[in-house]
Amino acid sequence: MKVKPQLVAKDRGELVLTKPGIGELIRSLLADGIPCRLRTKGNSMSPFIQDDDVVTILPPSNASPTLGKIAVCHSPEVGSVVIHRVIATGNGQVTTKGDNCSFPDMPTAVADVLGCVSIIERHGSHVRLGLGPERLVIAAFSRAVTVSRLCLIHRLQRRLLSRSTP
Amino acid sequence: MKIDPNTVYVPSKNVVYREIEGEPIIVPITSGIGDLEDDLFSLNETGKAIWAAMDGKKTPADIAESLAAEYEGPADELKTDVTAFLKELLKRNIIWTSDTDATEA
Repeated sequence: MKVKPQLVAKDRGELVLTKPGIGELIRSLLADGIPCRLRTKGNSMSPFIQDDDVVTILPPSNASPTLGKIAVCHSPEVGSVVIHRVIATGNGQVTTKGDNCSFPDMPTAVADVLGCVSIIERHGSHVRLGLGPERLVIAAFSRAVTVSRLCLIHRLQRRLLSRSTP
Repeated sequence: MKIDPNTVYVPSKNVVYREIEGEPIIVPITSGIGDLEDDLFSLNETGKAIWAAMDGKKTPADIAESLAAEYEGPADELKTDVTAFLKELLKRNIIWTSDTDATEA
């Protein structure tokens, strides 16, 4: 053979969660019912999931995206997958939001949710806070903060409009 | 670890193979979980061709023969390359013999 067959070790730098290829890989594994374990990037779920934490994601067949759970969804804005908390459900859709984000993501059809986080590991230890029953309180608080922020913005907009109108 | 030219080798149940954006990726499975924190591997074009030829029926000798038309070169060299590649996969537990597959299933 002119080119010898080779097994090539993947560079860890290529395995960043935000890269589209990795999102596709995660989606492919979860769609086949295979749970995934991977390192997270970013602080959108801080303090419950922090940058460089390792999470295990179960496919929807093993973990449905109910209120408070941390769901994995494809994000067209990011071009890959995001790991955010479910803050509202209904009409066959879920609304997710990063615990450290100001605003929720666009609603996702339940059928499009790729999976849910079942284990969080930080520096080799399991982190349980945010995955137990307290997740319902976190989701409710997160939603309330969003609603109050939206109300505030709406009021500011109205005030600005009323000032600009003679 | 030695490759027997008359034994059939197949992908082990400790890995899953996916093609993502045209690139072959081998993901280790640990306790039933696709572990992206573990070492992930890719294959070059010739490696991919050998992987595709592992259909659960072909021995290493058959694989070398089936690739002879596509990859020109002396038959002995082809066999040596296929054997060396399979040996590397076997060493990393990415493939095993079809007998192992039956036992594990």
